[in-house]
Amino acid sequence: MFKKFKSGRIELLLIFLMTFNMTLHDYLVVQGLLILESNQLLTGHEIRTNKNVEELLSLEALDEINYRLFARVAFYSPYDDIWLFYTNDFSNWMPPLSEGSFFNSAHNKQALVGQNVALTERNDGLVYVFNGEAYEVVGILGLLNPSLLDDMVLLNGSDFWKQHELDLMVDANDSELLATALGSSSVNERSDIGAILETDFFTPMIVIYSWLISSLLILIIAYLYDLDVKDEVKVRFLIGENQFRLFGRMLISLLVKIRSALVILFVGLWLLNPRVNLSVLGLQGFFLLALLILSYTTLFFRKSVTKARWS
Amino acid sequence: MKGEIKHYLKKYWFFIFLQALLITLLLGLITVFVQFTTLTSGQLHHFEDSFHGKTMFTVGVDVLAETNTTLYIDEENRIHWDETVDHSISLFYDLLNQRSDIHFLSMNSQSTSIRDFHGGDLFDAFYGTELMGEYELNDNTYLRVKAIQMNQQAFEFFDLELANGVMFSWEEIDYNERTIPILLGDAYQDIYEIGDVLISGAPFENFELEVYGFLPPNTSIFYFYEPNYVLDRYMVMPYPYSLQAYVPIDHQLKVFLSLAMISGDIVVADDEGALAFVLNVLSIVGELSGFEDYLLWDVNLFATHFTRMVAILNYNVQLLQAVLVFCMAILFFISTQVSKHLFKRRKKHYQLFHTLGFSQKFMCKLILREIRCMFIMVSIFLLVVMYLVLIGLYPHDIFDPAHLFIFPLFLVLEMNRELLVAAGIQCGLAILTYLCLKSELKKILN
Repeated sequence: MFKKFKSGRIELLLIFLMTFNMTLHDYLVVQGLLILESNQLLTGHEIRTNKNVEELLSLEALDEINYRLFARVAFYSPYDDIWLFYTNDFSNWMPPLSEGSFFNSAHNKQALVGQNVALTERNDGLVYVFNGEAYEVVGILGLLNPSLLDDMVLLNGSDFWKQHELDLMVDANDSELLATALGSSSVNERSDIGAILETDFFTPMIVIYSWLISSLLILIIAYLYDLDVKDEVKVRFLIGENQFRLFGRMLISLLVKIRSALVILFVGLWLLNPRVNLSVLGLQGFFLLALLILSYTTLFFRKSVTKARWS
Repeated sequence: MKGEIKHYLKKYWFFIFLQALLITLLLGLITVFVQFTTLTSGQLHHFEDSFHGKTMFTVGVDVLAETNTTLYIDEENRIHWDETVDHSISLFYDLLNQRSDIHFLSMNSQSTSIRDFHGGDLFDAFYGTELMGEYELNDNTYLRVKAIQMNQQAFEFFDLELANGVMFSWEEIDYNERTIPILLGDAYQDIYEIGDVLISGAPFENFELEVYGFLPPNTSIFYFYEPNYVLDRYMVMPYPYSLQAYVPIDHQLKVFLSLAMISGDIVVADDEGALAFVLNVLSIVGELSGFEDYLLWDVNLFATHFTRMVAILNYNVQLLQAVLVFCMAILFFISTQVSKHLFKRRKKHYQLFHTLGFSQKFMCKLILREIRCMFIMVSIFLLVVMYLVLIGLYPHDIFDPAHLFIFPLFLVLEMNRELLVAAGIQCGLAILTYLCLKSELKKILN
């Protein structure tokens, strides 16, 4: 029986690789939220339009992309900065929230409010009253305290903009698609921290580097694994074990290592923060598994088997 | 020893190559984070230096004041006044502007019509509204483009600087000559050139606006409750240095300019007596000039926006530093673990050396040489990356890729900080890897 590599170094490397990716992913998510927070929930590529709500909602080209519609109700309240909101996909975007959750449907009269906004208490909870209508408060805007969103009120499901002429702003993650759909371009007069910190330059650099590092590290792990098991592969092949069975054995051993790494990381993260979003980790685990198996199979396993055949 | 190193390189060249590439990439990522953190910290300090401990009050003309008897509005909503008012308002501005105990930031975002404008709709001050588009006047086509007028104090308070061009002299700005030097936002770079002259329509009727320079991209100021009002598509027009020196040839333009120029923001130290201090300054200036129909209001949003913006920048810096430390830890861990793994595979070699009577010092030297081989490779990769970055960053007339001998010079001049960071981390990494392997060696030999 061959001595297997049992020091757990491969598992450790896998854990560090996943933690590295998760940290960068979380950093980019938080940075995106900070950019939204510094620019009143707009991406900076929003387009002001003189079309009314009905015209915008009837645009087929616009409906094909995930967009958000904002209108500021200026001078309605001396204290609150009231914005009306609509999106055609509530699952695709999330504002920075310190508490609560985002809207779930365009038909519900709901509100997200800043920390300084005065609310009314009703039997069924806190509400924000605007234009004689009560909006259920579902969350508190702003990641930080104090926040630039402290006086903001974001209202969902309002008909106010159908009855009044308001300046509308359409925003989307893909500014080029949005400009094509609306037939006009964005004129950015406000700046978020992304502009002053040149995130358009740094963020893609960070993403590219992290991808390259992850891929290379996977290659190294596959190589290390191959160094550990190639003698075993050779001997098992020579004593007549079927190539596919051998491959299955090696695959299971790899799967066990990835599973161990994932379980350790899941438990560790859960112990550190029970509210942590583990779906990213799960997704990453599958991706890692696929890439690791692919690199091991294509680069190393076949080579070991071929060498064994020659010998 | 040479033979052993050769054997090591021959057997594990692919692994060493991968490890060196990985370290290079991680060093690259760390350099990006260091640059990003430096930039963010710089912006944070800039914000703090410019706005910390300051508060803002806005002063304007009370055109509807009951005491205002010499200022009247006609049926076409035009404001008129007599010479006495003209003199007192001009003196009010000049006295306020000359005071050294306050910052008087006079700014007004008044669109300016430009004849035969080359820039297109995106520079239209009314873009996205029903008023957008060109208009015809006396067989000429005009577009109302975005413009911001400001005085020297505002320009200097927001640290505005030129990306290229020549800064004009504020003292020499003379509206009587109907020529104003202007600076254009970054979006104008491919549209106009330095020295181009634009002819303006209302409200600066038939003025020649000469382009003196361009602002850097993303230049922003605190204006009209916006903490980052971007000037990329704006033309910056300087106000006359002295309002008294501007002799009114065009009465309406003088009225417009006077009202705009004395409507500005007064920035003072943020303490309990700030309001009383500003009221006292205005009272003195009003008494000396004879103009007292002004309004004053407190822009507490200035301090609030500043605090909130700083909180965001601060949070971002902390986040960046945390990620940077984490990346460094990962770099060190991965590098040492991978080296350790390779070392364990070679432990039989070292045991054999020990049996053959080689000293521990000899084996440490061998380890050092192995580490050195990898870091030489990392350095070569890094130099290649930096060379490619320089090719990408600079046009060929500045950095010609064919002239390799100027590469070290550029490297030292332009990337000295990156070079230092990379060298420092490499040294740290090499030492740590050596210490790790040395302890492994001790374990094997014992």
